[in-house]
Amino acid sequence: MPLLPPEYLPLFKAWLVVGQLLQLLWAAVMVGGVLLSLFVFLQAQRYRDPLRLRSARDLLARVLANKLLGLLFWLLAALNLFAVHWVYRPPFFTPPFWMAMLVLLAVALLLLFLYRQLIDRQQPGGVVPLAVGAAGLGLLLGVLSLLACGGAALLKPEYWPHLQHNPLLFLSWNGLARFLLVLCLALPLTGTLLLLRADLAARPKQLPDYQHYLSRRGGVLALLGGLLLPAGLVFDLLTLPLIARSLVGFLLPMVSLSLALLLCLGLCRRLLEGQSPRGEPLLAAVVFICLLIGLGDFLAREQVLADGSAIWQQAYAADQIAPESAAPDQQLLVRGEQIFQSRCTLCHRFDSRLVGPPLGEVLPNYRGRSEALQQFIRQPVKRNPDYPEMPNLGLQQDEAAAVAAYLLERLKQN
Amino acid sequence: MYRLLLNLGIVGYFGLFLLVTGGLAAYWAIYQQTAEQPIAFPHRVHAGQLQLPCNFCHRYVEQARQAGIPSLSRCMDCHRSIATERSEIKKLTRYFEAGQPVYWERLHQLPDFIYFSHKRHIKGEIPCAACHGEVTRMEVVRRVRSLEMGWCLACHRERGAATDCTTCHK
Repeated sequence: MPLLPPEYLPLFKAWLVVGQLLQLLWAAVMVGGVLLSLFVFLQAQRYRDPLRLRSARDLLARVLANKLLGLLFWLLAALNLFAVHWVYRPPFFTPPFWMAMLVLLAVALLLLFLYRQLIDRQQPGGVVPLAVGAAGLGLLLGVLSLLACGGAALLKPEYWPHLQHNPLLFLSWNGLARFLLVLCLALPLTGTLLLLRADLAARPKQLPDYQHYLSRRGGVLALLGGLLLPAGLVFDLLTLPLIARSLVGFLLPMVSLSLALLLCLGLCRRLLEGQSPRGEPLLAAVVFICLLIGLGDFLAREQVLADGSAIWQQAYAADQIAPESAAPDQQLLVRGEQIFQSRCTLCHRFDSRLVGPPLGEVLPNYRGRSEALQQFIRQPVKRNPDYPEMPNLGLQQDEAAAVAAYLLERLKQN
Repeated sequence: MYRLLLNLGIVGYFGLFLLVTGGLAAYWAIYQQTAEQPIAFPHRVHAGQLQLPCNFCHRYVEQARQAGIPSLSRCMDCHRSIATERSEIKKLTRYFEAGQPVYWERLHQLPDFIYFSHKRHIKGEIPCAACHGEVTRMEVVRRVRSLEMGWCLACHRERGAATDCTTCHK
């Protein structure tokens, strides 16, 4: 596949920050919503409570609104995987890996939509909806945990060459921490969703019980998530590789913690006073925390994979090399000049002393002795005490031959 | 009273985690962060643009456990005449003329209980970049590998090298 020019790299990186934020929010809402709906549906069946059944349906209608949005979520995941592959080029992001991820995600989404259809029936009894919903959620959690481990593996490039022989190295404590962080975020986001829904239910003033039911549960969920968040953040920091740490990387979680503290205090106050917490400010705060987490992850990657852009540029340059068209001899001389200019001119000039002797003085000794010159270039020895020892530049045989050909040709011209 | 206690509990709970995060940050900043080098030596120019082989400066890498830091006279071999007008080279020359050593900040420091030999690994044809990263592209060299035991073992197992404890913990 042809590569895009390096100028597009910042664009891909910017997309990664935005795309991962969107996906984190969306996945957390989906996980929290489905998990809660399963729990509420189970309770609704047990107590034959229409309010709970309505709440389960409502939740699913929010997190799995329609199949088009499901497809959009899947496309977002595909785009993010593609962007990670293009920006950082980790060797474990092979086609089988990302195809398996996308197929599993598609199956999980299909199962979840089937669960929604089953639960929307008039009499959704039996264990079938529960089993389908649990299977879909389990699969979604499986994909998310693998993606979390993939994100953690990006911060350990030293393990990349060994993953093929020992795939278990893909799993890491930091991967687990990232996965738990998603679960921690799922709670306040789902709580926010309930609160926003409660606001809507309150507007016509027709469903006061339902509004109360949603706002209490939404507030409690958000508070619970806010209280779990510090543990998730600190676990992530503790397991973060040393080389990925930075001052900003520590400051961002501290800002998140402070914000979560304010959120929890506010939620606690409103819940104790029997008031319904407001959904909009809570949503803004949780989105901001997610953004800080995403930025921290991006900074950690940049810290570890600082040469990522260079790798990209190199791959692009290799992709752009046009087939050689010069005649073989001319081609050899052109190559020799290129190597000479890039490797030798720092120490050598033809007509003056620099670090090494003027080439015009020493090259006549090699007139007609190309092989001896090649031998010296490949394995230099100290001959003149007036000059420092020439380093072995590690040139290959063909490179030394090209340089020798160019130097002797230049000698002829002089 | 009950609400006050609850609020204090929440503040204390978050304060504890903030304290842990601050402590981690302080520990990192004091003990783990890399300090600035006394001379801004660009590996990108020497090992990258000029493609000088690593052992041109780190002369003992093939013969000893330690790769070795080049002596100042090694630097001055070239920099008596190259780039002498640059501030960092002037700094280097001042060190050399005063006969003072340059106290480089060490980046790749293994604990005392680890026996590691560069010579063995060079003989095993492990490229320098496997452990030190692409220094040819780094303006300022940083540690880019964790140097964790799990990583050492993964490589040893894959290459059929010794995995006996005493290989590294002598």
